[in-house]
Amino acid sequence: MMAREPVPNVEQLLKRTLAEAKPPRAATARIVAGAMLRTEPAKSGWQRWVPAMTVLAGLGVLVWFGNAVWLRPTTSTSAPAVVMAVALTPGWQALGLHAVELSVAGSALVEAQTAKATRLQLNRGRLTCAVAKLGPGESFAVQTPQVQVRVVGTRFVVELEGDCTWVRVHEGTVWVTSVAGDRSLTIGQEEKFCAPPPVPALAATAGGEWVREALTLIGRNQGPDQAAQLLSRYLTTYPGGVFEEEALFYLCILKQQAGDHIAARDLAERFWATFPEGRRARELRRLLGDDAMP
Amino acid sequence: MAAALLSACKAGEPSAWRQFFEARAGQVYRWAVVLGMNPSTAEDVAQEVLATAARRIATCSSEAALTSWLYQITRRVVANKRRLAWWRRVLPVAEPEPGPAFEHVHGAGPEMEIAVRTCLKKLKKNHVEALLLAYVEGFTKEEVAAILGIPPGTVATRLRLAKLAFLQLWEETAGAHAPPLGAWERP
Repeated sequence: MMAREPVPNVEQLLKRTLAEAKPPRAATARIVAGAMLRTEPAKSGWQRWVPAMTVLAGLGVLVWFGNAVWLRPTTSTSAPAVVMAVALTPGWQALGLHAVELSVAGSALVEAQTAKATRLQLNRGRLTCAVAKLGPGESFAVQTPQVQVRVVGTRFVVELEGDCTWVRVHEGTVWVTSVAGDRSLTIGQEEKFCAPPPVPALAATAGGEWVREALTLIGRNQGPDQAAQLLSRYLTTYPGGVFEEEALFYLCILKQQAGDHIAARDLAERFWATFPEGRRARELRRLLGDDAMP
Repeated sequence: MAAALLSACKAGEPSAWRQFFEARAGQVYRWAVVLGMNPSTAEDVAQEVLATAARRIATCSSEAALTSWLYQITRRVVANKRRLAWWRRVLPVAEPEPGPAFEHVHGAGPEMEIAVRTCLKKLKKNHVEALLLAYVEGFTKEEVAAILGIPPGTVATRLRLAKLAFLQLWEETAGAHAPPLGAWERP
């Protein structure tokens, strides 16, 4: 500890202590070198915009990626697109965020696909499904003549063998609804469901694409012969199907327009026998005249 | 600094800038230290001030105004550094032991320097500025008033209050540990 001395004159103290004070030589060298580095010639023209453009491009990629991958399941606010009775082709294909693989000889339809629901119908062969994790209210279901399989985020296989349906679960859990009731299958389990098709309604939507194509042709006033062939094929292949009324009605009209009045009358009588009341029945009576009245 | 060097700097000659930096680095560093920066931050401040000066040399009207112009840049850069170091005030970061910031070949020794800096650090910022410009840099009251943008009377008041505050602090803290000061007397 040093002895107390007289209080200094502040001006002299500061002058003596600081006025001639210099930084260490190394510090001076660092300051000069750093300042020289920082005084590079200013960038000109487009070079000045490169950092900003890089940042903007990065932000754009982030926004695009976030919209495409992270946010898509939860930010879909547009009206749900509904796809009815679109046939699946063999092989892997994407259904929204999900993926399905139909065996080569298989036949399946996308009955409905909206932002939240996917419903498939398997008519023949094997369907392997890889379902993305589903949010609240979302569903994914596969219908066969015997069962309906509902899932929430899983991988499973549905295979139709004759009158039986195999359900094999590779990942997660599925709920299977059959005539025997509901039951769940978890990872590694497989089950064979051999109950006969409960009602034709389950399988009846098959062939819907023929009817839809025929109606499209009629609506565009194109290929009436082809439309008639499609409707005839439907009525032959799926007697009692859910589209029987439409198929009979429009085929009858097509035959009448083509001048085949006998075929038209036969079809009309078949229609009236099955669907005696309703607007279409009355239209057919009006179209075919009083002699065609039952 | 010769007016020729300033002209060469304005013309953008790298060798002129190096000369300018070597001539002014020590002064700017000293200002930064007196204004409360620690040695390493003062180096950063000096680099930034000189680089800013190089970019904006066109705004310096004459060689006579160069020192006050540089000081204006320095106080802004120091203020920015203080603002950016807000986390030091928020987080419980221990202040490092003060070490000497200058080379001590002659004049006051490192102990004296540390004692003076410790007192200055506790003074109000505008008092420190007045002491620095008037007593360390040797500007007149009118010049200090012009640099700080305040009336000369206010400069005189600040100097008087700053001296009193400094003396009080010197007696309370640094004075007890300071080395002998010889024949210096109370003003």
